Amino acid sequence: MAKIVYRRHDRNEMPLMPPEKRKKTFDEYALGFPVNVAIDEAYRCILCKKAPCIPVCPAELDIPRWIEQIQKGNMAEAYRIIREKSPFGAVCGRVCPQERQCESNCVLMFKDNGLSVSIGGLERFAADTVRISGMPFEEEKAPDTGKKVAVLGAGPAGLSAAYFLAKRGHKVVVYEALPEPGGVMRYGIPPARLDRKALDYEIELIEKLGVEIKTDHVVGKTITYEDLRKEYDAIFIGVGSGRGKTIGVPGEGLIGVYTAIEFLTRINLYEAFKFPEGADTPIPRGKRVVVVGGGFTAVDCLITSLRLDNETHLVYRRTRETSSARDEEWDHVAEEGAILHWLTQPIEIIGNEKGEVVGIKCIKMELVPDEKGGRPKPKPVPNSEHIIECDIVVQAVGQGPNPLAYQDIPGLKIDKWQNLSTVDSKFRTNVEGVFAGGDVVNGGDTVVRAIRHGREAAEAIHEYLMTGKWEYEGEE
Amino acid sequence: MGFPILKKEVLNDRFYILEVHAPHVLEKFAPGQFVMVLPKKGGEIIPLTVFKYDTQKGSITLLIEVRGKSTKELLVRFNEGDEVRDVVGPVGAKPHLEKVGKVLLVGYNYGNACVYNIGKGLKDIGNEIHFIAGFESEETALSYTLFKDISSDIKVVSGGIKKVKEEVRDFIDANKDTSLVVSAGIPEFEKEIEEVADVFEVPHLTHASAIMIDPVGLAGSDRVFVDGEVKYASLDGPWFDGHKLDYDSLIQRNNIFVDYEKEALRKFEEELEKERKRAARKKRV
Repeated sequence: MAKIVYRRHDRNEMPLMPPEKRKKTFDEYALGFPVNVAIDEAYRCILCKKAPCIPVCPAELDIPRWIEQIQKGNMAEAYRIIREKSPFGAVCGRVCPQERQCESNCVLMFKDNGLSVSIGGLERFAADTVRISGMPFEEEKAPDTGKKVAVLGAGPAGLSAAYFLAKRGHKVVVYEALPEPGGVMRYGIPPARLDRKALDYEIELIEKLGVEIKTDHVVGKTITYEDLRKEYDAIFIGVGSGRGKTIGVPGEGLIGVYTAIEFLTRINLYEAFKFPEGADTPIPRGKRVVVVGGGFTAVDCLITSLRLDNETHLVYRRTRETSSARDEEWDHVAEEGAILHWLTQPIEIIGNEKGEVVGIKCIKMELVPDEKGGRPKPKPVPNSEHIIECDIVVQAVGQGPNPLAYQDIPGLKIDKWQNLSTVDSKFRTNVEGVFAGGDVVNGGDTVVRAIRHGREAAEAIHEYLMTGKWEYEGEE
Repeated sequence: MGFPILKKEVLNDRFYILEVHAPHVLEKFAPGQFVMVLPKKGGEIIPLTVFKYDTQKGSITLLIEVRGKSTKELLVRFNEGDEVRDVVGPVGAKPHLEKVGKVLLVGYNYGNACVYNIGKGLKDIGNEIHFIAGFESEETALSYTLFKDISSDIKVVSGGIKKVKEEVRDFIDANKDTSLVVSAGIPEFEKEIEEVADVFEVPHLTHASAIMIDPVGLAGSDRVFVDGEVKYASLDGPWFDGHKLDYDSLIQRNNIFVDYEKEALRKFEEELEKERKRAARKKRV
């Protein structure tokens, strides 16, 4: 047998559309690996027996096992192994912060400053190959159990739960308030980062297992908890944490002030970027836009704004290094022309006599060490107030709860943020038969963590349906 | 997928009626609630009050005013047998309705459908209903027969907001026992009605038509200020205490996309004009 050569440094980088080109299109800018490159990249993986990448993957994908299949050219098998743990390989391959998860712990990095295997790129490759090739892809499911589960919310948590429940042979109906399924993957993440064909395909695969998705159904309005209770043996709440927060400064009512969710929903769900010819939902173009925030959502707003020909600024009260988005993504938006103002805190949105935004007043900040040893804290620099002229302010400063779907459940324990962090380790709420997972539990986290919640909750629901045992372990 | 149009009736240049099969809306429907209609993929989602409904047929009847491109397109491109892509609902809070006695409904243009809808609920619990149906002009005014099953006292008033306001003032002046005014239309109109309700110290329930792109207050585009507090028209509304609603901020917010809407309508009308010419040419050939 040939001696294994550790290829620590020659990682294949994901091909990208050049900045000038990509800022003119909402098409995906990361182009994906061609087959030969993907197989070459797969061969960089040394298929560790005790792979350190697995425990740091929030979905616990069996990474070396599917990469081995890519090495062998068995893309369908690779995809099948991914789907043992997550029905959204094509999505996660694109939107996961891999360099903080699986790729941060790759063996190749442990010596000589090596570069990790491009796990995300390969995951995307396996999923895309199955989809694009059009090969038949069937999934097995257990015989019908006769049990019915209602899933509230067709986002990553809900659809993941639905997928794993359907595979266990349960009948699943998913209720979604919006006209399209996908949750944040649909209305939040721009098509420039997530090709809608990839998302649609993975949702179709879930439907192929017999999962019924009822869009246009507002739980709490179209159908109530009492109705669901009568019809279903268990309920999973995966409605997310969907309500755009505002920054809490004067001037938020002015014309031109958006929450990130509104800004993104107009574009991503209603395709406002095609207005007026191809879509009827408007969105301002060719303006000056200031995005406030420092996370993934802020990046998504920047990506979107740049593609609308807007002069695009970011203001964030901390530094680039202490932001929660990826370094690479700041590079990408900077290449596309975004102007990034670090250590800058908005204090007022300024309007004209017609009530339209004309600027945002900010103050410079400096980071001071936190006495308790936490993240350094931003502190205003005296006399550093300044105004950035703009027509639009997009507030990407986090989400709040939206308890509409569960506020009427009698006796349900809701935490002080109106979320359901009250669930126990098996995602059980204190109400028998009612489970919850995803952002409605953790208040705002990644897509992949919601998928994990969905899967684990599905296992717990399965156990409950088959045994009837219910022992809530949380505080009563 | 899709919701078939069972009936379409053009009332005049400004108004038309669509009856749509959407039984899921009716299971929990309460007076005062509404639906959101997305006519097609790439379309614009439109909040529309449920004007009338038929539980047996599972159908809702929408009274629609041609305001912009989407409502115009629904009129000219959708016919009986066609489907609209999405009907979401019911949306909105169930307003707490009480038997209070003499109730005056005041609508303006499309708002007449909204006051009719909630007025039906008020009538059913035993209130005495009077109805002033306001319209911008005589040409666009609708017949009282559309609303007649709700009250025997219906007055159709055309000629603009000020004229309707005078009628309302005269009515309350002559009926000091009016215990509730319900108004709907545009916030500019509702603000005027509030002036009257305030002077006569009559409780006022009004309809906040805010910009809405989702049914659950997700995007927050439908935020309105009520008594200084942020409320969401899709969740907490659309009916609010007329004495407490901040009309000026609602008027301001409703103007955000006016220029874009005009542009879209102009382009669509150009398109229709071209089609007309093409059809005429074909005819000649």
